[in-house]
Amino acid sequence: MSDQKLTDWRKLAITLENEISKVIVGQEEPIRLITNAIFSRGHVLLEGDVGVGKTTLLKAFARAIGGGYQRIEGTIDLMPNDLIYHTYLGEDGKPRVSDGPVLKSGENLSIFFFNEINRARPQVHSLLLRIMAERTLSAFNKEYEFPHLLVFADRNQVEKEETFEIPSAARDRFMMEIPIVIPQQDEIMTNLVFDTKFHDADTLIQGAKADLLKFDKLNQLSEDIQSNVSASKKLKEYALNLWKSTSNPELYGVKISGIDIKILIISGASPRGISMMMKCARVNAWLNNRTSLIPEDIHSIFHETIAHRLVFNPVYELRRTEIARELTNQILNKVAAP
Amino acid sequence: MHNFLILSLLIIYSSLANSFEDPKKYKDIDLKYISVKVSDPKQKVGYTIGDLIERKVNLTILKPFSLIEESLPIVGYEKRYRGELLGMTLRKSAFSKVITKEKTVYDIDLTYQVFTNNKFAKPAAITADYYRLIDPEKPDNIYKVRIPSFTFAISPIAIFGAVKVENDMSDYRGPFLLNPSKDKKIQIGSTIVLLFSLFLLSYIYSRYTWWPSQNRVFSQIYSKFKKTNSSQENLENFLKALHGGLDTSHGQTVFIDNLNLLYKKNASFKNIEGEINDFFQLSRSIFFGKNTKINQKEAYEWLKHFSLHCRLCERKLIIDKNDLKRFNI
Repeated sequence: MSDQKLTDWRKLAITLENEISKVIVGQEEPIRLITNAIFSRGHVLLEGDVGVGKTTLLKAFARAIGGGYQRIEGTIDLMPNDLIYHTYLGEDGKPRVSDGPVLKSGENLSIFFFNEINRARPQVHSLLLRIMAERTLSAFNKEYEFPHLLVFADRNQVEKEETFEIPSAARDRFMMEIPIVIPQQDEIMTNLVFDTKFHDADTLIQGAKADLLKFDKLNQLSEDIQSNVSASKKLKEYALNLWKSTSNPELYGVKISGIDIKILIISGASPRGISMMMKCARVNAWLNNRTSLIPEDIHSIFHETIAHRLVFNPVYELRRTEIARELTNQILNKVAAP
Repeated sequence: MHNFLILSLLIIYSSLANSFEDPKKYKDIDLKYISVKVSDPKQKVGYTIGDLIERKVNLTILKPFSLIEESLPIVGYEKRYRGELLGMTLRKSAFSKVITKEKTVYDIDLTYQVFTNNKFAKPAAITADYYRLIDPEKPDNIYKVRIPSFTFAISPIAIFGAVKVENDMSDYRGPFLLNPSKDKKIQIGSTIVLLFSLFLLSYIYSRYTWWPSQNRVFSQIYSKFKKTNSSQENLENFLKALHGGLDTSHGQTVFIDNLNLLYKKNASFKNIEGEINDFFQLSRSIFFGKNTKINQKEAYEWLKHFSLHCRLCERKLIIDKNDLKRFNI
C-alpha cells in the first residue's frame, strides 16, 4: 500500500476517534487504545465498574467499523451452542434451527460483542478462545471462517457472585485489556448527569457516523502498517528488556511496597503477548505519523497489552488490578532506553 | 595568750621600723663598684586602680662588694612617702644572679600594683628603693645603692560609664586609645566569608567539579565528553550518558511521556524544556530513526552546551534564557 493510502487511512482513523469522542466523553485514552486495537486486528476486553459506559463505547465502535455486528449476553446458563444456533418451533409447528450470533453474519462478521463475559461458563470461554485465536468454527459438519472478526468483551470486576474468572489462557487471546474509569473532570461529570442526550445510550450512539471504515480492508491495512513501521536495533533491545522484566522484575530493580517481588510473578508475558504489544506499538507510531518506533509507542500500550497476561502468585491475585498497574509503571520506570 | 600578743606586736614594730629605716644612716657606695640599669614601662600616664607596673632592675656589683639580698623589697610591701601610704603595693618580686670572680650580676623583676585612684588625674610614683651592700671582709661597713623612683600619673576611671573629658583636661591623662582587636577580628572574618563566597561562586559557575558533594552526574558527563571527538560512537555514548543523567537525576527512567514528573521534581529543568525536547528528538532520531541525516559535529557541540545547562539545572540554578540554544533536526 502506498504511503499516500496509509496517510488517508490515518486520517480516517483520526476521524473515527473524533466521531466516537462525540458520543463518549472523557474517555480519550480508551478510545485511542480501541482504535489501535482495531488497526492491530486484536480482540479487546474492557474492564470497569457497572454503568461506566463500556457497552456504549463498544457499540459506538461497532457502528463505525461497519460489517456484521452481533452480540450476546454472558449468563450463568449460557452454553457454547447458544453462540452457534438456536432452536424453536416454526409456524408450522415443526422444530427449526437457525444460526446463532456467531454464524448469523457469516464471513462478514466484523464485531462480536460479548457482554459480561465473566458471567459465562468456562465451556463458553473455551469455544470463544478458538473463535478468537483461529477465527474459524466447526459446526453442522462445516468449517466457518470469520476473517474480519474482532471480539469485544467486557466484564465488571466488582461482582464476584455467579461469575467465572477468565483463565489466563483466555486472557492471553485478548490483545488488550482496557480499564474504563469514570471521568474525573467536573464539567464532564455534570454533562453526564444533566445533559439528556447521555441518558439514552442507543440514541446517543446514533450520533456517531456509521460504517466509517471498510471492515474488509482492515486486515490488509494492518499488515501494511506493520511492514511500514520499522524498529531500530536499540528499540528491539529495549523491547526485549521489557519482556524479560515481566518475568523477573527484581532483576531490573523493580520494587513494589508491601509485595515480595521475587514471588509475585509466576509467569511473565508470553511471546504472543509481546508480539501483540509490538503490533500495537507500530500502530501507535502510525497513528502519530511516524515510520519508526520510539519507546513512547510501547509505553502508550504497555499496560493494556501486558498487564492482563501476567500470572500472579495466588496470594496476590485478589489485588491484581492494583498490583498490575504498579508493576507495569515500575517496569517502565526502571528499564532504560537506550 | 599574752606572750603571743607581745610577740606579734614586736614583729609588727620591727617590720615598721625597717620600713621607715632611714637610708641616710648608710653611706652611698662608690659608683665605680656598681652599675644600675632600670627598665620602666613606657606608659607614664593613664594608670588607674588595679593596673600593674613592671620594673626590671639590672644590678652589677663588683667585688669585693655583694648585695644584702634581705634588703630587696618583699611582696606585700606598700610604698610610703613620709609615712603616708601611696597606694602602690609590691605584688611580685623575683631575682636571679650570676656570680663571677669579678662581679655579681642581679636581674630583679618587680611588679607593683596600683591601689589608688582619684577623680582627677594626679601624679603618683613608685618611690626610690635602697638596696644595701656589704664588703664581707669589713662587715661593719654597710653601703647603699639607690634605685630611682618611677613617676607616672594616675587617671580617674569612668563613673557610671561616663567621664566628662572636657572637665578634666590634663597633661597627665593618657591618650584615649581604641582597642582595634575586635574590629580586626571582624575584618578577618569578613575577608574569610568574602573569599569563601567568591570561591563558591566561581565553583558554581565554573565547569569543574572538585567539591565532592557537588560532583553530580552532569558535571561528570560533561568532563568525560568535552574532549572527545564527535564520532558516531561518541555521539551515541554522549546521548546515552545524558539519558542516564536525567534518569539518575529524576530517580527513574525519563521519557518524553513522563517529563512532567521531572519538571515537578526539579522545576529548574522546566527552564530548558525546549532544549530537553530537542535532546529527545535528537536521541530518537539517532537511536530509533530511519537514516536521519544529522550534522554530527554540530550535534556534539550542542550536546556539550545542553549538558552544561543540565548541570546547572541539577543544582537548581536558573538558566539565563538568552543562553538557551535550540537544536533543529
